[in-house]
Amino acid sequence: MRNILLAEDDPHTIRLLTMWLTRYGYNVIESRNGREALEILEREPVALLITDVNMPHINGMQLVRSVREELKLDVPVIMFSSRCDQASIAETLEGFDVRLYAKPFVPSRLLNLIERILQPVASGN
Amino acid sequence: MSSGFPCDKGASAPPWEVSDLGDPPARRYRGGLVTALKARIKEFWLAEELPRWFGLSLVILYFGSLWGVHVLSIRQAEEAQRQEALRRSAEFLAFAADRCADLAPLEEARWRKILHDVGSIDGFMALRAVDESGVVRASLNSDEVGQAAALPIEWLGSAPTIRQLDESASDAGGRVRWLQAPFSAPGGGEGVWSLVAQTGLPPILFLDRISFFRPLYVVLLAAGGLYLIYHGARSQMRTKNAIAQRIRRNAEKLDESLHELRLVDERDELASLWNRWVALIEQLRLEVRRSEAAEELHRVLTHSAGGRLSEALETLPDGLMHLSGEGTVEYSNARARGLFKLPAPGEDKPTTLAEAGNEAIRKVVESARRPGSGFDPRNEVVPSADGKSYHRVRVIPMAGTQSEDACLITVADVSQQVRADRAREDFVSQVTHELRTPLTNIRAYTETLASGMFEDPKVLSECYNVITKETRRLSRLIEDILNVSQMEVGTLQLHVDDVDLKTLITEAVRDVRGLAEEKNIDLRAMLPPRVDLIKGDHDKLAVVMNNLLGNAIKYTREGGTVTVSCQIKSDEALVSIKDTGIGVAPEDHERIFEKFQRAQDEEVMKQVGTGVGLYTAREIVRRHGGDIGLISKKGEGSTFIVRLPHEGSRASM
Repeated sequence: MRNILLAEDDPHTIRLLTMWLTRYGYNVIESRNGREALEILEREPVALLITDVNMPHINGMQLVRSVREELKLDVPVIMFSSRCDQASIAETLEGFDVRLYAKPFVPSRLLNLIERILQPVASGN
Repeated sequence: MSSGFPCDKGASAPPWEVSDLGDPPARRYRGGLVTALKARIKEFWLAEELPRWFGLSLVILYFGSLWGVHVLSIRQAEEAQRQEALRRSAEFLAFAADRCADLAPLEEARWRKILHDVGSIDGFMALRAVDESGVVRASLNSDEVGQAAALPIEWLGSAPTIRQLDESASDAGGRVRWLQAPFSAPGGGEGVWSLVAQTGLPPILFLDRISFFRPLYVVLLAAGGLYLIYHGARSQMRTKNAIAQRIRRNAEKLDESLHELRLVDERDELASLWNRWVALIEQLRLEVRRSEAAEELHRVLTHSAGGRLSEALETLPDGLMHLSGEGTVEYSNARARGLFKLPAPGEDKPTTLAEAGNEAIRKVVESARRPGSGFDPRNEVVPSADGKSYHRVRVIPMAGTQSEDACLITVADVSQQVRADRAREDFVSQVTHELRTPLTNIRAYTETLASGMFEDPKVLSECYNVITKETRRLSRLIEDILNVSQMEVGTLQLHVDDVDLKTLITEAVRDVRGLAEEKNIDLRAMLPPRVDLIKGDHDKLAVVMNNLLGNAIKYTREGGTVTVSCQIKSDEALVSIKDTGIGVAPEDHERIFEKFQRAQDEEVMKQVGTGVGLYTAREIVRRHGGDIGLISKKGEGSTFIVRLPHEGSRASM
């Protein structure tokens, strides 16, 4: 299962990530905001959740909390954050098993990270 | 010691000096006897002695007459008694004489016995039978028999009937009563004999002891009782006189010391009541003086610098309070009383901090209290109960002043600052986020290009487009931020030159066309063929256009329309941007132009924005001397109208 759920409101970022992820053979599901993301998580099996911090309605941190506490999903999460916010976000999300990745990101390096995360889970390419 | 009448200070001094009017006055007579007499009469009159003496004389008269009447009645009774005794004696003698007429002559023994019986019964001293020639024929005293009877001179003739005669005895001092009762000679003779009796009477003195003294005792007793009553009344009268004297003396004005009105000795209840009354008046006067002094003080305070300061403090928009170490509110201006929610100050009781109704502010002050005494300094911002306002509470200990334990408390409304600070913080975080996004994209897409992983020309051209667009977006954003900073500081400078509005609008439209296409929005520009040049700063006006157009597109849903039109009038240039978007509610019309403010609307919140676009645009337009107007209703689209001043008409190139 190579489903990656993308929760991001900036269309350019979505476009870019989708381009790269599809290139690498992942299936990208887009959601423009946190609410959509939760709905999708309830319906579909997702191998990885990539989310931004700032989103309308439900922001990234609330999304993670909902995923972990309400949906009780173990799905790995990558959260985009700014370098200066990283410390405070890490504190807030302590214990929630979230990987923080600083924006602006370098796509290739991000892809490496994703591979590393999903490698043990992926059952045959 | 001596106290003359103050009311006649101008007149001559009184002829006597009075030591104390309550006691029997010790008088020293000055001047002649006549003046003394006149003065005495005056005093007599004033002191109401006349009625007193008159009453006394009446009483004496009454008792005297009582006594006299009593004496007379006793005497009359005595006289009647005597008359009665006399009558009885005479009757008896007559009876005895009748009996003697029956007697035979010369029965002496029988005569004697009869006489003895008669005499002893009535207590006759002497009793004799006398014949017509005056010779004693029989008698109690047998020595008299045969002698000539001793008769009063007046009785030398024969007695026609019973007669009596009182005469004083020559010796012994008593009185004698002669009684004679005729009877016809015994034995049937022709002569008239008589019985002559003598009785003693007690001496009748003019000053009879019993009749004189008995009523006197009664009178004296009554007089004594009356005197006691009088004495009691007199002392009251004296008190009344003393009071009257004092009042008369002070009738003109209330003296410095009411003490002089007091009576020296409280001999009765009236006097003590009077003194109590005087004491009350003294107290009252003291109170009046005290309240007068307080009024004077108050007047001085309110009219002095202190008073003006107090007025000034009352109008201060910040709350000011002087709190003592124990927690009593020494001073508080109107604002402080309102903010602390203090109850209105009671009559005597000072307000305490504990009575303050505003929990939040009170807690700050209480936390500043040091356990021993005094206060620690505090400077805290406290939100109000409803969260709509914020107040900065400062506790300033007054160490080094006279009231070392006290503190000064100021409460200032900093709601606006807090809100502004919050908005600015939000702005900063928003801005950083917004800066980051295009940067991220630029970097990512640049790397995508550089990676060489994508050879599809469509993808490549897309990358280039995105990079270009995002770069522009970034530069616009930075421009926005710079403008805002400059406007805050006040250093925004306009480089005024000729501006062709047509060009301006066309450029702006081109800039945002990409965005419009993404959302399938129909973007049109309706411009007249020729447009006059206006004076303005091209770059800044471009910012205005971009902001307004960007907003129009941002807040219009897919498939909507955005129309830009321009019109030049004689004195102004109008550019209107009309969209079919979500619209702006009338209550937000003014707010959205403010810094960091966005309409409180879900649709708007969905969009990402810094909240400075409209603020920047309006500031720039206002700097040009114009303004931006808005026609909009929620859900019915918006029309923003930019008005720029324009002088005369100049042809465009």
